[in-house]
Amino acid sequence: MIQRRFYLPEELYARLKIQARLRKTNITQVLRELIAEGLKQRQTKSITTNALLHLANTAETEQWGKSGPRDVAETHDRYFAKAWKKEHHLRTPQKK
Amino acid sequence: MMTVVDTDALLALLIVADRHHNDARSILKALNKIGEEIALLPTTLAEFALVATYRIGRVKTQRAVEILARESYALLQIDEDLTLKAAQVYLQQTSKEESFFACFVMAAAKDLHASCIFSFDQGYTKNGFLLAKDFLKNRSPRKTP
Repeated sequence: MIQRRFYLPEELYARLKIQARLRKTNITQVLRELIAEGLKQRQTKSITTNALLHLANTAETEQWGKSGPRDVAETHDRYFAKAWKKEHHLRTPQKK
Repeated sequence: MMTVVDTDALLALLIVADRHHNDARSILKALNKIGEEIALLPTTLAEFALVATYRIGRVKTQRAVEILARESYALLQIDEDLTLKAAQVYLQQTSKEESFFACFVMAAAKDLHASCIFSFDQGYTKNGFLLAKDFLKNRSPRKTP
């Protein structure tokens, strides 16, 4: 454990105290949890739907997969297994 | 708020012949309208890339992957913690329908307090998660009788 001194605005400190009381724990524990959660959120990367929309529009305009099967999304596990087998087959040298 | 996207939704969005294509587009537009952010797992991207390569071809799949990966905030991190949580979800499954990929999605959705999962897989509902379609339905204002 590392000990550091921080300054908190009074209002934030008051809110922390409430959180600690509500959760029947101490302020240090609440702080640790909040910091861990906050850091995780920061590491979490997200995209706005714009990038995905742009991609979907490109697929629509260029008619990606227009003649293929209609159940790829629904049964993608099966398609994955098939594709995996094909990949494996391609990478495995054939016995003579 | 955050929505975790699954492989089937990505495939439905990009394969125009898919029976979920139009629904996927409508859902995405609706999520966009309410300002939802999309979270994507590397495992989902990998699963998508392999299936898509055989369905829409390598070049188009590479373009899609490039766009998804180029977005500076495109990917969730898979760490030991998330892997253990996904494993716990996996051990609770009683059907082979839910793959480990899906368990990663569920673990991430739980971890992020995601509002929903962008997928058509009812398996998520059975596991207590809200699909994007249902999430949007619940949000839409009810008409007064």
